[in-house]
Amino acid sequence: MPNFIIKFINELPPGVLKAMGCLASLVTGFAAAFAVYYVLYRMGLPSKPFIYVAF
Amino acid sequence: MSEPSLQNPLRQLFQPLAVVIGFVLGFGLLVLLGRNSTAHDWHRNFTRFHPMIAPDSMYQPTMGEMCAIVRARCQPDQVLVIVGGNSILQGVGQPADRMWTLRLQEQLGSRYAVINLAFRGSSPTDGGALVCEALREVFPKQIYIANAAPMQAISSIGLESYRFILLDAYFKKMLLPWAPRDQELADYFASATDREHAHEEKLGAQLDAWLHFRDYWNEWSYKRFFTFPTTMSPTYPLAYASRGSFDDEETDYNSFPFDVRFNPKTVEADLAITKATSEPFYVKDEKGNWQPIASAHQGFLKTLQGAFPAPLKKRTLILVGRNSSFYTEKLDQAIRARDDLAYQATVDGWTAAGYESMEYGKTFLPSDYGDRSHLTSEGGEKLATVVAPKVKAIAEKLGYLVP
Repeated sequence: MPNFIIKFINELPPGVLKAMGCLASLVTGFAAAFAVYYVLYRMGLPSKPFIYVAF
Repeated sequence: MSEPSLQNPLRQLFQPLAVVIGFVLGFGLLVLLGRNSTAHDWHRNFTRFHPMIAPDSMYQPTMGEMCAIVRARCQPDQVLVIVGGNSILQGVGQPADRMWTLRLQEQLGSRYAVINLAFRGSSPTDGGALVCEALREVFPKQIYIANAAPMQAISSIGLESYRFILLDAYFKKMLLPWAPRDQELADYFASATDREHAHEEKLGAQLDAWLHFRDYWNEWSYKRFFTFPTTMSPTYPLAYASRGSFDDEETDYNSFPFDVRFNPKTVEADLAITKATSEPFYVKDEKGNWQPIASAHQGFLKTLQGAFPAPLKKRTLILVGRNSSFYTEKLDQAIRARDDLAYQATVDGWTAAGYESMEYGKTFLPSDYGDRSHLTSEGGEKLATVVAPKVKAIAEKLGYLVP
């Protein structure tokens, strides 16, 4: 991570930093849930599409 | 001196408990959205399950989604007519504005709501049959139409390609208790060729019954964008286009000249299939008369007993379609006589088992068919003309028309 961002974050008031951390962690958790929910869907699909042949 | 304070601040930001809470809240929210997604119908201008919203292109419609389609198109006072079965009843070769189920709707009138839930290559007990069954209490005035080949054995659990719909309905407890189906399903899980795959399917359906991820992602795929390309879908960027943006672009058989559709190679192959239509079921005796092969007939009749739950048989109409007369006219008289026996025995078999049944197509012209078995728009119109009176008679018989 670039130093200026690290400096900027470290200079934030502790309360703001904590709130930002909480929010970022919540978003990370939500993103993980979204990914798991998608993986469940994809795992249920067949590996190849149904190939229709008319008789 | 200042080095320690320049450490990566992610450690300070990262709060494991908040991540877990975010995961739980997010997952819960997605489940709620998934459960709620089928409370309404998202299929604008639904005609039928054309390839871009069917397993042909890795889109697997869910029971909730299909029930929502029906609820949005049938009023409580109408007789619900669901058309299931295979590509013949789906209207392959008939453009969306001229498919046979539209003609059937016109002929039946506003007291009926006809909805085409047929899938390509599916059996009478697949998709549409399950939706009809699941909606038996919402729409008690219902008639289910499907098609079957002469003496076709029927499985109560349908075909493997569409088993995902059965498992969806089964584990969401949308179906009637029906011991023959339960047994056949148990046998399938116990003896499937690919047992691991069968159990994965089962586990997936059981999870989805709680979590509704298929409903959520189908709605997403239909309204926003499809998340992955498939071998059957168009190339980039259309591969990712929302499935709702594709129209039903069924090819019109009539756009191909007759001699292209019935070219020598196709004719040779289809004539062989036509000749063999009733071959496995009859044998000639010493006097040259066709006699039924008892084991074949009994095998067929036995499957009809358990194909549909008992209370649903009387509202189920099975159509048995003739091959195009373009082919049958090329058969010798004896084979045509054998076919007549097989068609009659098939209709009689279904009827004796408690269903409604009829054959169609014997008097249709070669131009009514796009190939050996699928109908052109003109053929579809004729089909609607012969099926509509039967549907009305069933509705009358079951007391659906009493105010």
